[in-house]
Amino acid sequence: MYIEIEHARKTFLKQSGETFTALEDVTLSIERGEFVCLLGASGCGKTTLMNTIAGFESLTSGSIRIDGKPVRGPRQDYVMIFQQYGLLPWRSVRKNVELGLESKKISRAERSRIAEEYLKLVGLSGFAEQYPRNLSGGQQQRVAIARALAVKPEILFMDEPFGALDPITRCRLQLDLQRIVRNETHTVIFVTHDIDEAICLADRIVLMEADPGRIKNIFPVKLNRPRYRSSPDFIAMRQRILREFFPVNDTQIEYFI
Amino acid sequence: MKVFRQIWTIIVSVALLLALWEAIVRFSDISPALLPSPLVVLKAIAELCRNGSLRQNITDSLWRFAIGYVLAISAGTILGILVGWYKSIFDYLNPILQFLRPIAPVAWMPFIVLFWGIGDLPAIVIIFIAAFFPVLLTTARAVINLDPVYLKISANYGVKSPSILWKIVFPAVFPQIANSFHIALGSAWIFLVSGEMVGTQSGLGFMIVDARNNMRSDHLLAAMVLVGAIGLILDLLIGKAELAILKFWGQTDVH
Ligand SMILES: Nc1ncnc2c1ncn2[C@@H]1O[C@H](COP(=O)(O)OP(=O)(O)O)[C@@H](O)[C@H]1O
Ligand SMILES: [Mg+2]
Repeated sequence: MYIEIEHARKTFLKQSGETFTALEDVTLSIERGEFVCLLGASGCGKTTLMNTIAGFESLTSGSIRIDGKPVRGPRQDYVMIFQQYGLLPWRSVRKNVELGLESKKISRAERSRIAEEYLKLVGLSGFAEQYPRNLSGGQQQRVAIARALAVKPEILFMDEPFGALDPITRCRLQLDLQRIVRNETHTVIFVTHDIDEAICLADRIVLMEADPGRIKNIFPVKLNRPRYRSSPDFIAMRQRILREFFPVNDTQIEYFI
Repeated sequence: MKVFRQIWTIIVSVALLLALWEAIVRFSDISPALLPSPLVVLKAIAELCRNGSLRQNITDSLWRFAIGYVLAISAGTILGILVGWYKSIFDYLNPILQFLRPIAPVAWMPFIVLFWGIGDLPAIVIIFIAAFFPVLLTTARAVINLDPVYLKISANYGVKSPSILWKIVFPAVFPQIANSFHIALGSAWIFLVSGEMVGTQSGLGFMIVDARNNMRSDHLLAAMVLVGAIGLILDLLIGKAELAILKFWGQTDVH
């Protein structure tokens, strides 16, 4: 397996002095090229799990290996996309996308060409010389995605990347993201608390639960793409997941957006 | 329209001050030799303009101020970034800074004069001291409180130390630094006069001492009015620059 997480445990020392268990015995394997969604309510340790895989935080015990090698810290080939975009406001859109290329041996002209290419991929061709402040939230997140893809990362981590966007922009970005990552065949780990978003995007949904943060269940999603929220298979999948959260009879479940 | 309103309010408030001043001169029994009326002070300014001494004094003051201030904000910014980045330095330095800070810049004066003698330097050093500490502390704090997302981005996109300092850290905290430049300008200008009251032979502070020695209260008030007016203009200019920076960084909706 490409990513192997074994008995991962993460505790924090709270200010009161007690230890708080954010992750308890998490074991999970992810294949190369897989799109995995971590789904669960706030506080169930999704961000913590992702930060430890990405090397931003270390585990209290257990191990994480990527491609056979233990994770020792953040790396340039595993990049993260944040809910608040994390763009550099003093740089133009193009210079933002070029950020990761500057530490590689790439000429200025080539950097510029690559930036244009990825801006085109995310549908922002005409925006290269704009500044982030002039862009909508959805456009800013597209820039962040272009910046991440431009360095051709092996793994893309996305922490509720569409969480701050309105529902329509969100849907559009979900559709575009499917198109983009299918072409680029990255491994993607995507955190969300939105069930539909997870079904829309994931090859596999990892359902998490809080207190202590742990994996509750894993669902492979075998629907054809592009996926539409109104299709019967989609609705059936949604029902299955909801049943995990609210274990009652089928007929009692009503779920409206 | 907003600009007109702004100008209008300034005119009205200056007029009110002048009217109050004039009223005090007229209706109190303070001798006009001690408190001259606004018109007399205006005449004094005109006279000082004509004989060229005013221009010389203002230019000298502005030069000293510019040198002290620019040195202070450059040193304050660079040291502030280093000290904030290597936080353990800050932890050791902060108690010292907090101890030095309440010592008014003028209290350094005897030492400054002992070390460097009289002339331009004491004034420049005092302006430096007055501007340096606010910039240093604000910059260091801003770096310490830098949004951790910038560090994650730097790690992901291969921005390493030390280039992270000028590629990411400095621009990320620049709006706060600009604000400290603004605050430092105000406090340094206040100390310009004290700096020039010892040992210089020109400048606005010297004008004040000179007027006192010659018992020319009209010249005294003329110098005070000019210190206030130039300080106000400098503050307005840097305020505009700060606002432009905030807008560029996308940190304000003010247009
Ligand atoms: N640095 C930290 N110190 C203390 N507690 C933390 C820290 N990071 C996360 N936690 C706690 O761990 C739990 C899981 O957090 P998180 O992984 O952010 O959850 P999620 O992303 O699923 O909302 C939360 O209860 C949070 O308060
Ligand atoms: Mg989270």
